[in-house]
Amino acid sequence: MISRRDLLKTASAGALALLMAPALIGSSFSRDMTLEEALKEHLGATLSDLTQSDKVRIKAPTIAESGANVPVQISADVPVEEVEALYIFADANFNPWVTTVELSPMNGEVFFATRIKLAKTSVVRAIIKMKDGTLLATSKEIKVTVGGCG
Amino acid sequence: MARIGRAIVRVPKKIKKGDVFKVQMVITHPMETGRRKDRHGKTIPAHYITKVEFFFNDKKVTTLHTGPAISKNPYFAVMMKATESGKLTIKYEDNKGGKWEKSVPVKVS
Amino acid sequence: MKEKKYLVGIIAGGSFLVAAVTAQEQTPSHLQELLELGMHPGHAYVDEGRELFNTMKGPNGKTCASCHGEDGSKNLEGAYARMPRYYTDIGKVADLDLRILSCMTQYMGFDPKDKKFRKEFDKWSGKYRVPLATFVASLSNGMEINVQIDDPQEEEMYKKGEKLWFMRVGARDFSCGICHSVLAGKRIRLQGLPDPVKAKVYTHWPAYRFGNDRMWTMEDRVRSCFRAYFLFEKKWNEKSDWVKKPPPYSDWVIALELYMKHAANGGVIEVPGLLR
Repeated sequence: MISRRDLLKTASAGALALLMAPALIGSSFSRDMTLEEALKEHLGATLSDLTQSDKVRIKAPTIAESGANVPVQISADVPVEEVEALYIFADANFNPWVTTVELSPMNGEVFFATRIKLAKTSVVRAIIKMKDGTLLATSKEIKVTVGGCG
Repeated sequence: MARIGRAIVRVPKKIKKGDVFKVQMVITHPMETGRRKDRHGKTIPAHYITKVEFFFNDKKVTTLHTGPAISKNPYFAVMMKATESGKLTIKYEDNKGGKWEKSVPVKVS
Repeated sequence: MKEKKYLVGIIAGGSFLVAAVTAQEQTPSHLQELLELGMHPGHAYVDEGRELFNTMKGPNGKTCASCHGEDGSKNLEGAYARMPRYYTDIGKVADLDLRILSCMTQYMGFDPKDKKFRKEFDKWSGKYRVPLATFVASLSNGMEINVQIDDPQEEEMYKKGEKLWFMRVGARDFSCGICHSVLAGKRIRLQGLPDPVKAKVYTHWPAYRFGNDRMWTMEDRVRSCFRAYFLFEKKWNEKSDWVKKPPPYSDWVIALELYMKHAANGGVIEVPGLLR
């Protein structure tokens, strides 16, 4: 005869295992990835391969009232003909890769704007991959807080 | 929410030949990460836009590869240079097989 | 010398205070930067509303455009600027949401007693209600709010709104006025409290609230305040202490809308708004 205490113990252990299951299965987007792994996957590069450059700019709020809708505007003072693609990464996100923008000379300028999700306060990076392989990068820390009531 | 996959696109009304102008768009889409749970504790499956392609007079201008880190009802803006009038066509798709297309005229004088 | 030490202390303390005060005045620019982008999901709701307006057929085969013209060109421009108001065909003072419901049930053949239809329509992010309200409101863009109180029912409703604004309810003894008049200008966490009466906030409603990625009409906003703020603590008795959400289109809601919108008279309508 199983005691009530033992039943509760096994039941709660079972429930806990079931709760953990999605984290163990899941797609690559539910797997936690480090910034280094994300850079490797999308750029085939490491942090040390990035060249900090003033020519790349991130316009974004320093403090965000809601992490779900952070506006970012990326621009770069380099000829768009020499650019292969523009990348955005957010260090503290489960998967730091946010987006890849493949530009062409018809874009006229190196520019991209969107709204992104930040899981928590994070460094956001904009990386411009040049056709010659150079990676021009800049970063900005965006603090994520909570706004107002409800 | 509004019908999924609806896109609205804005281009300036007056564009001079050779000008660089902004193309903006909003797509209504849940952009679910696949990590959220509904109020019954069930995980909401991942559902997000994966690719957005901009074509001008059938020539590819820009490709966006996107994921669930983009906000719900995403906004995208790129710059474009045009030397002639024509049609801007945007093709976009999501990870569940949703495929859509939206075209707007671009008048260059 | 002792005096010098005190002087240094006062200057240091003073500059610290100034820094603290000015830091508080630099309100976060998150919303401003979002507005700078120029386009937001609220605009997609105008588009959705326009499509429904022109193409959605009611059970009797009519669309909104059947009576109001393509894109609302026949008599709907400026209509939102004068709402809420008394409508003879409804027999009471109606806001935009109730007006749309009445149109759909009285002229398009939708059944007002159909529970499934009402649930879809009345709910938060209501299926037809929200996009249609956003579209119809946008037809008044650029115009000044001009709510007139001439009908006796409108007068009665307005007086109710005035009273309800400061009426304290629920276990927390809250009223609209406490946060939005008395404490207006101060912050709750990172968000400034607006004063709808003095600052004509209604010019930006219906609005897309980026805090939860939804399009809201003022009906949704007023009702949610009751539900969220006036309210709920588990230890309190649900029946006696918890203020329930007023039913949709009830006097509570319409009276407060009339009060706030009348206060916004003269303000130029700019919808869809964008708020946290």
